[in-house]
Amino acid sequence: MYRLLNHRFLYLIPLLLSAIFSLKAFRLKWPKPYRLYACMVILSLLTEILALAWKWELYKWGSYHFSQNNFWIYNCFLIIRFGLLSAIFNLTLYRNKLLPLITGIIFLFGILDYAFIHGPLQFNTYSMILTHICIITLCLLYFRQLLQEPGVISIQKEPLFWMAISIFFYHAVSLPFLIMLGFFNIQDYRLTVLFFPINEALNFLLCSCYLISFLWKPQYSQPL
Amino acid sequence: METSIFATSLTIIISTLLVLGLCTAVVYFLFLYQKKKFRHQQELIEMREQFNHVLLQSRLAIQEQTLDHISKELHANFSHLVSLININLQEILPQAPANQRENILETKSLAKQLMSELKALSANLNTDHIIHIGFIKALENELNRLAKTKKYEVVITKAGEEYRILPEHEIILFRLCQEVLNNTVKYAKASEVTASINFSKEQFVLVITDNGTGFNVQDALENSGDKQSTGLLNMHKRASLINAELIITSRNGGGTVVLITIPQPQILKSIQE
Repeated sequence: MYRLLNHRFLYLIPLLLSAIFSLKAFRLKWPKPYRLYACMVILSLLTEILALAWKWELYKWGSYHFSQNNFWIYNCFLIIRFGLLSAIFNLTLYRNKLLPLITGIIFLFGILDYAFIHGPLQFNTYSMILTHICIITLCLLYFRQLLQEPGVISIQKEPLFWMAISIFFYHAVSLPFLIMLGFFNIQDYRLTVLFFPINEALNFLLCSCYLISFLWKPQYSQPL
Repeated sequence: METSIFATSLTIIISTLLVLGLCTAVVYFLFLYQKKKFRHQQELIEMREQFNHVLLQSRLAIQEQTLDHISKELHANFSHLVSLININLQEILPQAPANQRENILETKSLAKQLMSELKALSANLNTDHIIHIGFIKALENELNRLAKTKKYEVVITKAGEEYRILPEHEIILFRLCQEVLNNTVKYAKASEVTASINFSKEQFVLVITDNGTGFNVQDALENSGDKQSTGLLNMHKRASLINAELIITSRNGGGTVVLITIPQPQILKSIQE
């Protein structure tokens, strides 16, 4: 437990709080996209707990000693998370005819990638980069929809807006580094290690935005 | 080697910060645009309200002009015709047979009654007359007309130092009271009507009460659209024009109380009795 008292795990505080606050989406019967978003936040928390538990204790399963590498947990989570995000955007965006097709293709490719190409224990896989690009595009499409909306909503009070900016920030800032990660690994491992503090800061920002989003409630468009 | 790693690390950090800055700029401009859109929406709402306000004022001005015209026509044409009827009857009375004289006298009396009703109606509709005599006197005349029908017991009470407010406001207030009294006559089936006026510098309060059958105010407002009956809505609109608060309290079988409050009235002059 004392191992958690480290700056590297600071993001767990807003993540835990946002998971608790996200339960109101079910209690107050918010529309479907918000409930899916709440599921994603709760799943994120459970994944983080499981990944840490695996790294510290669970890899020693009785007499078996598995690899301490917990990337397989994150890779599984990324597939599910991508599915949830696609479902959220599918319900939120007006013009989303191609989205289910693109999601399906990336989903299948992800499974192939983890199964045959890179394997589940690698972090910077092709499917991760593809999902990053897809998610950034979806966020930009959502922002465009907000700009073109005929009515007016207070965007700073809209939970999905905070979700969109948090994942937009995280994926847009980390994408260039992820693409170059392999190259940096070849050059010098210290350049790769530089990713971790950046990732920690971005995680903290992401989880803080999750928390802020659940302090508000769904907004309905006011006509002009 | 160390220097190149340091340089590469610095490049990575700076480029990460640049991308972060770019993303922040995108989100910032999004906020800015929404704020502008929201302000635009507020301005549109204000403009619509202003437009409705001006439209209502124009409608009321046209109504007053029409009523004025009718009043003048009643006074000039109809009164004149009734006078001629009276004169003709007066002329034929001496020549009429004895058994018809009573009928002619009754007709003359009815014509005289018609004349006084026309004069009263003309005065009620005449805006200039109302401005001349003032709201209080006009309301008293209206209530006295009700009392004369012998169907209503009318009580008027006044408290405080009497004053007059702006003529435009007095006209609107008077029309509002006319609407209230018309509703009492048409629907209330009342036997008592009480008007109480309270004059103070802080507020002007007028309460009109009747002991009629009462009605469900909420239902009446909700059904006004279906029944195309806009009396209550018009009353609220008139009240809002003069910054007055109109509260109608009523329940079935319990009479009706109409409370009109004008906060901080624009006093024209005090009436010294």
